[in-house]
Amino acid sequence: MTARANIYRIKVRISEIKVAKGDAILVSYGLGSCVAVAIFDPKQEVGGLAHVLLPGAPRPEDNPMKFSESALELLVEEISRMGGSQNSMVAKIVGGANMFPWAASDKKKAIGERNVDAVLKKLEKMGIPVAAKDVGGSEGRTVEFHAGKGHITVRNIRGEEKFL
Amino acid sequence: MNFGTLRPEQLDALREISNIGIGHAATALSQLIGSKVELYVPRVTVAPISEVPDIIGGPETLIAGIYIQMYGDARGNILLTFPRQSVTRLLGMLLPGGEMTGEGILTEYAASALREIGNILAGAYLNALGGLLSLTLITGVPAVAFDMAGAVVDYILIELGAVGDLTLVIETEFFGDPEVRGHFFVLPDPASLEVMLAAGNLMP
Repeated sequence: MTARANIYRIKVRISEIKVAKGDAILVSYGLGSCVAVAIFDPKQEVGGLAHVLLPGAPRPEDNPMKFSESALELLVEEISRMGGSQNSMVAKIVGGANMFPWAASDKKKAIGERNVDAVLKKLEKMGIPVAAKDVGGSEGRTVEFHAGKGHITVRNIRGEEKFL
Repeated sequence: MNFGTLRPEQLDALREISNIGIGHAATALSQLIGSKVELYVPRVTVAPISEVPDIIGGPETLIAGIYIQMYGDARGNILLTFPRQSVTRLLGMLLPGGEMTGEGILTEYAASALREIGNILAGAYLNALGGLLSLTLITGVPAVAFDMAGAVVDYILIELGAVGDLTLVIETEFFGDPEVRGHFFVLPDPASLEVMLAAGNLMP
């Protein structure tokens, strides 16, 4: 068995948050206008990934993991619970594409961008620096995030990879 | 209206109505490509938004998605999805000769043909549905993407996601010779679903 096969992979679907320690890989497949927000504490080797669908804050009846404001608060809370400290946390963000650049509606045209803006604003408010980002464009992305080290691999449909 | 409160008989009625609409769309598509295509609605389901990418084969699968907005008395979105092999066959029937697709790349010619297919299918479907329900339903300009299923779908889920966690999925299978498979998702806004059910005398 190779070392790679021992690495523990966790799927993070739309409106989900997952947190892990050490060598676990958190994966979000096929991001379009959604934004994957990875936050980690490199000292404690703990990190988490939020797959955010919408900008802004939820209403009381909504799933808080779906919206940027509440999802980021929950993500930081969960990482702290696993030993991370907010002062040493660093973020990387991926996604926010516009999959249908020629779609008629102007409101929808901006949704990916609005998601990215909302996430950046919230991170700034929380005092978490953004170490890297791969956002915008009109292509889908798959994100693999090494929770402990904070390394990210972004892959497109042609299998081309970027490392953040 | 919340999709979670739809009763089984309402889902059955929506399936029946959709089968008639889809039948018209099949006839239109058969005429366009000059080869018989049958469409059938096996299921009308209410699914959590997060599961939609899995319904169409997994979020990283390469698909062609044609997205059309629905306007008029009811509003919502229509999404047609075709797996890679089916889209290649469909384009081959429409535009003989020439490589139309690469890895995640559609030629402008192919994209234009797919927009036309979307126009014809959605137009025929909404015409039939509108006729049955006495509603005026109009299609918007189709947009095409050829990419990961998850990425193609989350765009539409965003609009639905703002109002709830569930979506109505009218799943459609295409059968033709050569075989073409696809899915046809009709995603009415919750308020518009209410309008459609009321027009069909399906409200409690």
